[in-house]
Amino acid sequence: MVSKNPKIVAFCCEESGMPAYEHAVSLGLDLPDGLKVVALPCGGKAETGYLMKALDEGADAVMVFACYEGNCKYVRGNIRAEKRVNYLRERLEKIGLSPEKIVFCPVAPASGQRFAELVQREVDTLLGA
Amino acid sequence: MSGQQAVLRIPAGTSELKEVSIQPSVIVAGDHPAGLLMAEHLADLGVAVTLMVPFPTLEEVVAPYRVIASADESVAGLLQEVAERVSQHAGITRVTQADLVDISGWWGDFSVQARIGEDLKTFHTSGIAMAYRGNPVDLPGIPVQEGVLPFTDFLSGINLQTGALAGKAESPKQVVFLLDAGERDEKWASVAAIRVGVFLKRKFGTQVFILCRELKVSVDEMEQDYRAARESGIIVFKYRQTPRVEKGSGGLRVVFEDAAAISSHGPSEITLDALDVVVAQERLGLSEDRAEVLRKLRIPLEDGVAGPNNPQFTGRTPKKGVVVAGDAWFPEYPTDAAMTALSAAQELYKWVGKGTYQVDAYRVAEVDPSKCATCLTCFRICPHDSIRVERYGERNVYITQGAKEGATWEAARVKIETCDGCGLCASECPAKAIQLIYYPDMEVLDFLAKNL
Amino acid sequence: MAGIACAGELTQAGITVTLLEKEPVIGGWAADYCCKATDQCNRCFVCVADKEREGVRLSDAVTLLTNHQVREVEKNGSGYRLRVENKVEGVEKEVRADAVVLATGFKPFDATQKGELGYGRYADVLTGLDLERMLRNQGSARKPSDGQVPNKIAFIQCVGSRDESIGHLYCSKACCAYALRMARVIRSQNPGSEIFFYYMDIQPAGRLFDETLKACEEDPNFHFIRAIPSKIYRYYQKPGLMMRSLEAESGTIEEKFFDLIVLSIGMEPNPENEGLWEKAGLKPGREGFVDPATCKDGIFVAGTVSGPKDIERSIMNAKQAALSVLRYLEGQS
Repeated sequence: MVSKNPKIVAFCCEESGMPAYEHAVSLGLDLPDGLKVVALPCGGKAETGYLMKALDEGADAVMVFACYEGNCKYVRGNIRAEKRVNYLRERLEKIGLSPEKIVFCPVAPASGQRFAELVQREVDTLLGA
Repeated sequence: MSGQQAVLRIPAGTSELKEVSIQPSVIVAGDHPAGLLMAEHLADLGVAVTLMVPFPTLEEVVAPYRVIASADESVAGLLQEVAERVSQHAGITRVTQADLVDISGWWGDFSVQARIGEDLKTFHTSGIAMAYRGNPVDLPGIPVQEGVLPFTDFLSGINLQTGALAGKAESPKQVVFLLDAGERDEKWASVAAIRVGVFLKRKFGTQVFILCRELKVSVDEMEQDYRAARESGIIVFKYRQTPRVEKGSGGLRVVFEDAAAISSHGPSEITLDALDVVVAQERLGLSEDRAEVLRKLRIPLEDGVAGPNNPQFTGRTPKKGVVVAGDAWFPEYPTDAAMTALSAAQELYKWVGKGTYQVDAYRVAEVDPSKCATCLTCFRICPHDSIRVERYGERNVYITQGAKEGATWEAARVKIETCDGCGLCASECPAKAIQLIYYPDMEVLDFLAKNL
Repeated sequence: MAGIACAGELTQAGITVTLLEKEPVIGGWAADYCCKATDQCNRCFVCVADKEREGVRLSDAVTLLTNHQVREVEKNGSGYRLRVENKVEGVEKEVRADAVVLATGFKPFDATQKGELGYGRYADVLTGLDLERMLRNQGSARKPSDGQVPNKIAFIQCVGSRDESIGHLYCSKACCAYALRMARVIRSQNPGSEIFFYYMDIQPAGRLFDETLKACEEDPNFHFIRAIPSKIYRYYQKPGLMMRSLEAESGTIEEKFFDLIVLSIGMEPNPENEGLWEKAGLKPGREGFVDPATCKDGIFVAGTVSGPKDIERSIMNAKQAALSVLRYLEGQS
């Protein structure tokens, strides 16, 4: 059962996700209180262990905010993150959990709007489920 | 609410600065004139430059661009005397008939192997610039036949005094420049065709036709030169499908559908006949040997050009201390290529110009050799080619716990000078042998445990 | 923005930099541009400009003087003396430097000069710059007249470029790329939308552009039309805007309705360059922008001040300028 205020862990790439979160805050956009933000040097650092640990500790969902394909400062870090997320989604489905618990979200540094929108979409998905 | 969330930031932390001394030296290698410009600028800034060209003289680097320089003052201003200046520059060591065949090492400590004639010689340097000309790979959509020349062969083969092409006695009467037949989005040939076309027309009375898919004018003063070309009698057509090039009466024949003709009676076909030569824009690419050198440094090659197709790498490569210029970066008109090359030279200067650098030994990844299984995962993943698996003999012996003293051990090792601390290796290491010193896994896991 | 990139490069080489900005914030026009990623990066370089700006804003080695307008540049011994005015406080002061980099940028073409295109008269005719700001600040394209999502959108290229009637016989170099990229963003946000792209010639934008162009060409809802529209008008009480053009493909005059029309405006020389910089020996080239060949004795240009450039080339030009500055200073010492 998902509470009204779901706990979401956002792993944010320092190059894109973090500035986007800060942009959203500076614009005063609505973000849920249950959002926990973890900055990482690269989206590709969001390792399987982190994502599973977050779910294990009771997070309702995990989001990985990384750079768009073709814009990673470390060439392919974002692609690795995406592959990892897709793999974990498959696994979740196999054990009967919703794959929507882990999502990969590419963002640009100056797109606070999109950041808030994606988080809201995730909240809606969780509450709708 | 905005800004109320629990946030774990990357620890700013005290940095552990380590002074490294980097000799201000570079090797500039290649056959593109952009290399000469880079060498000159860097040498003027006090960097010890070794310039390697595959020819007996520096003049041969510039020679194929002489016809463009005759047709365009701004190119002349760039290239006219650069070969002379560089050949007399006291800060540049010139190595002729040399080809760079292998690079190993890291920023500040590269070992470069060059083939000089029959011999192999090793050079040591802090930074490397590769300014390569492209080789014609193919003429897309145009069957190879007599009278059809790749653009670069045309440029290097023309005699500036007589206008005659290599192997011919006099200048051609009618020339067609056939552009854009390939898929790649390049404008160098369009600009060169217009400017060289005007030169041929004025100097030798050659009738010039230019056939293109799009008229590319996004170069300084190009629109004005295009106008000058039309006024001097050069005829420009836009075609839809790649024109047919075939044997005609008294020369070659080119047939195509005119895309610019506005007519409600359907498409209009145009035939140009009795042509002496068809100059076709080829696809340019790096030679296999050169591509191999880049591949070994794990500089990605996309579509025949070097460096990742990624805005984060403007004018540089993921390998610290190595830059690529000339057609190897992207085939460009000489003035554009000069700008790209000099911005790459600036990147290189930042890396080697200062002499001593402060390297942060804290914001990096570290391998625990006792856990390393030498699976090479990190080696394959590292975007900066900063991890090597090394077996150390006498010195720097990695000792595992419990191993006998003096035992040599193979383990991965991070080169801290070039590590950016992105953590990709740490997140993929199956043995969990790698940690970011400044941001260990425990920080993230503790945060999750506390806040959920 | 090129000035910022150049300042960033110079500080990394240990040079002390003063950044003079006449606006209250730094960043130039690029600070208004939007990210043009769809499901992948489309290589518009806006994020690179954002990062450069943040880097300089937070740097201790750069003295930022915003709201400061340069009034006079004067050679003074081996260096320069600049008279600058604080526009807020109305006081003047003097800034001394060993070298001066001119990065005063461009002026966006004023689309009301092309009266037949109805900019300023019809709310749903936007310039490329308006759309950039809309996408950056609101996240998606909307019709200004009623806030609805537009479905049929026209882009008109070369508004204020390649046009001798207004004295602009040059290509602005960035418009094809920015318009196609923004059109891709609109297509990906609203899959039901249709784009009509009116152009003369598509100008390549370097090694990172090919993929975007191909994606547009392969998109069935993306129509490339080689034509320059002659008129935009309202048709009785019908919704939308009517546009008339002579199309090369069919050879007929076509009239079509659109929800939103975007004018891809070009760049003009910044009028503030006139007079001020002539004293320092800089002269305009054939296209009206500063001729970089006239830079000498410690004056340099970076970015669009010497001719239209996209962000990528502005940054490269700024790095080139930084190298030239360092080389000049090395020669002086």
